[in-house]
Amino acid sequence: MLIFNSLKNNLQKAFKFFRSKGRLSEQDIKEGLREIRVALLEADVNYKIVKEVVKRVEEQARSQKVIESLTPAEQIITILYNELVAILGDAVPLNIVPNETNLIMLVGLQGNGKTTTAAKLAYFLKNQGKKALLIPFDFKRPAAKEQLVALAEKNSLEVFKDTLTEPVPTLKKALSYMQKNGIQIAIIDTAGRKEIDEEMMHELSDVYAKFKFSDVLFVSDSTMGQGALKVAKGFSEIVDLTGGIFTKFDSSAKGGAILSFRYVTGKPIKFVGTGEKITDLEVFYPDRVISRIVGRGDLASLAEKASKAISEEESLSLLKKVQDDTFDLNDFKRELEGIKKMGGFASILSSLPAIPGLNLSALNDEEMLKKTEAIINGMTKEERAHPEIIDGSRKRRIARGSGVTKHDINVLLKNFKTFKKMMRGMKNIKSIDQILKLR
Amino acid sequence: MSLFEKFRKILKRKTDSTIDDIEEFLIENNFGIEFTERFLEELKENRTKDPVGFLRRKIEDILDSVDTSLNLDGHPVVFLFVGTNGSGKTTSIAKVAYFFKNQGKKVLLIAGDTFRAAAIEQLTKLADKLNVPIVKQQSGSDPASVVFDGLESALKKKVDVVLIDSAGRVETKKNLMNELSKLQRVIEKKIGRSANEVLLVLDAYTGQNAVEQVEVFTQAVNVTGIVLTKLDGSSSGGIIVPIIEKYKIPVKFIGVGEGIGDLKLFDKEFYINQLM
Ligand SMILES: Nc1nc2c(ncn2[C@@H]2O[C@H](COP(=O)(O)OP(=O)(O)OP(=O)(O)O)[C@@H](O)[C@H]2O)c(=O)[nH]1
Ligand SMILES: Nc1nc2c(ncn2[C@@H]2O[C@H](COP(=O)(O)OP(=O)(O)OP(=O)(O)O)[C@@H](O)[C@H]2O)c(=O)[nH]1
Ligand SMILES: [Mg+2]
Ligand SMILES: [Mg+2]
Repeated sequence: MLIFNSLKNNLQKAFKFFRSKGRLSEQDIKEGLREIRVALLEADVNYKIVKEVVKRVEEQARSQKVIESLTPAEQIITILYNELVAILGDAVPLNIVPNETNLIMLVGLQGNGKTTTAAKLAYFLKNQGKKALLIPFDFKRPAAKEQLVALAEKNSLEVFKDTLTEPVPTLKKALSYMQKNGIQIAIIDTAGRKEIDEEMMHELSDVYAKFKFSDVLFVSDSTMGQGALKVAKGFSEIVDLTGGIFTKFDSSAKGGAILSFRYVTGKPIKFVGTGEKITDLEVFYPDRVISRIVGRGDLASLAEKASKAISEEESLSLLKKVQDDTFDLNDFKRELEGIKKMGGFASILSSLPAIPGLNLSALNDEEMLKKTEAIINGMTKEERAHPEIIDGSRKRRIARGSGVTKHDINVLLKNFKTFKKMMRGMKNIKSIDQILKLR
Repeated sequence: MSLFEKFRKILKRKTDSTIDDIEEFLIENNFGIEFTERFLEELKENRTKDPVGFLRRKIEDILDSVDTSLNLDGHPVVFLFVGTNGSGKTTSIAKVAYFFKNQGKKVLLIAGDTFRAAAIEQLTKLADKLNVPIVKQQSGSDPASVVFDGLESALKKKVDVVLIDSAGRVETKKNLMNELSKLQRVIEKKIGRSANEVLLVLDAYTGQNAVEQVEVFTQAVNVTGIVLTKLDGSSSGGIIVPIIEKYKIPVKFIGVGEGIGDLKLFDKEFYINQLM
């Protein structure tokens, strides 16, 4: 995912500055916060939100606890993380009630992805064994209905073709069709409209007043700039939005619009669009995204990936080892192999927390893995279990036996230490059972 | 509150808050932090008593630094429309077709978006409404081949203006960008010169990602201008100012609605007035 990449990189600059300082002076805090502010503004986070977030981080950063802490940088990162998570809130699913009629209406500006998302959503529900009827409800744009029908037919989705020329009668007709055919979920694809277009907004509020909707979702392009705040506000004043869907997560959008939406409406982002294909829709997990942005790594989704490569049992025994501090080089070797199974370091680098000292690139290639294997194979059982006993003369012996240099051994030992530290750190992260699977 | 109203208030206050207000104005209009900070520095150095006027002149200078006139040399005149998904390419083509038709020109449309569901139907409906010919193939066919056919037909029919639609694409998709370069080569081969205009259609709501769009699309094709759409909405398209400053690409048209008549040639006064 490229979205948020530049925000992540810019924040890393700010964090690097903080980390380079140790104890923070008044001036350091000011300078670091300035960097954070620039990073957020550069990422299209609304001016007002940035102002507030920076103010709140500043207040907390000036607290005794942070100033006197041995790791003020980490504290500030945590504060920022918490502030951003607080804005984005929790993951919230669709409000589908079984055995009732559930109308899901998609609304938003022109060209932001409503029609495409409607089809994706129906497909998503279908994969969960839920049948949803797509209702073309855009009476304005040329070939809007044809677009939805084409998407439905291509993907074997149910679509209501018997539309009339007016919204309210069409929806009435569609409802009785649903009743007759025992369909409980409908996804309604409305016309794009501007929040400042009174006539079109009136049409929307009229429809909204006459039917009961289980979800009204605001579909928005994540490349939206500062104006996202006004638009989301405008829509939320006309209808009670239950959430948002942000499209174009496959672009290099900065992503600030997403914060704006949640900030101004208080509603969750339920899904994100990650491409033009019917399968390109994902459930949105705010904390994962924020973790990635602030460089803590998308641990949960990494865990998901990992769980596919590693058994539950294995991960449990691993966690226990970490807890008991018996995690040794044998385990480390297995870790590396597991990571390789997950698609290699390169593919998960972006998901991992930024860990000062862990030289991932050095681990990134086949050759390094082979070396690691050779080194560990060249060690005695005792050395593997207690690497701290490996002194200069042992290193020389291992190097000779494995055909590597002493430097290679040093790199390996250092990485092992950092890795262990990282694993220990993970114990404290809140969704421990997910982290379990990270092995 | 317009910037001028704000300014009136500001005059009563001290300079610090002027700077803050201008900063807020620039950021909220998507000028970007880099441009904003640079401008505020200039403003401080200049010590003008009229910061809003100073800003206005700065923007005017940038807008004046590029030529917004259309290149209509040669026959037929060929425009290729490119851009990210949903920015307004297809709608803008209909508007530009209407614009030329009103000048008595013979216009032909080429349905180069063979990818998106019902993209061809959308352009066909618009062509029918305008009563202009359209060249199309089946959905899913090779866009380069549609463009080839379309230009061949245009040359045969001796039309005056050819407008080519293309599928929306995000700037991160390398293969889709290459596909655009290929379209450009087909055009060059077929008419023996480059297209008169390659227009990047940009949604006025776009934030800083617009810069990447410009960066990547200009690498793939020889973008000659921007069509700034949806200026009738609540966003002012401020991002184009730093874009023009950096890339020297003019805005040639602006879209101000969904109807075929809702198009203007770029007009500096109009743009600045809606902005400020
Ligand atoms: N790359 C990418 N493109 C998307 C995504 N979602 C939608 N699109 C594209 O965005 C364009 C606009 O999508 P539509 O679904 O037609 O948008 P809409 O909101 O229904 O548009 P109107 O009905 O005109 O208001 C199409 O080209 C879609 O293929 C996404 O997540 N990523
Ligand atoms: N308000 C307003 N809406 C516009 C303007 N230009 C285009 N639109 C609307 O934006 C939506 C998308 O326009 P399209 O022309 O289909 O966009 P596109 O770039 O061809 O989209 P794809 O082919 O899917 O990439 C439609 O609902 C248009 O009516 C404009 O200037 N103002
Ligand atoms: Mg639509
Ligand atoms: Mg189009």
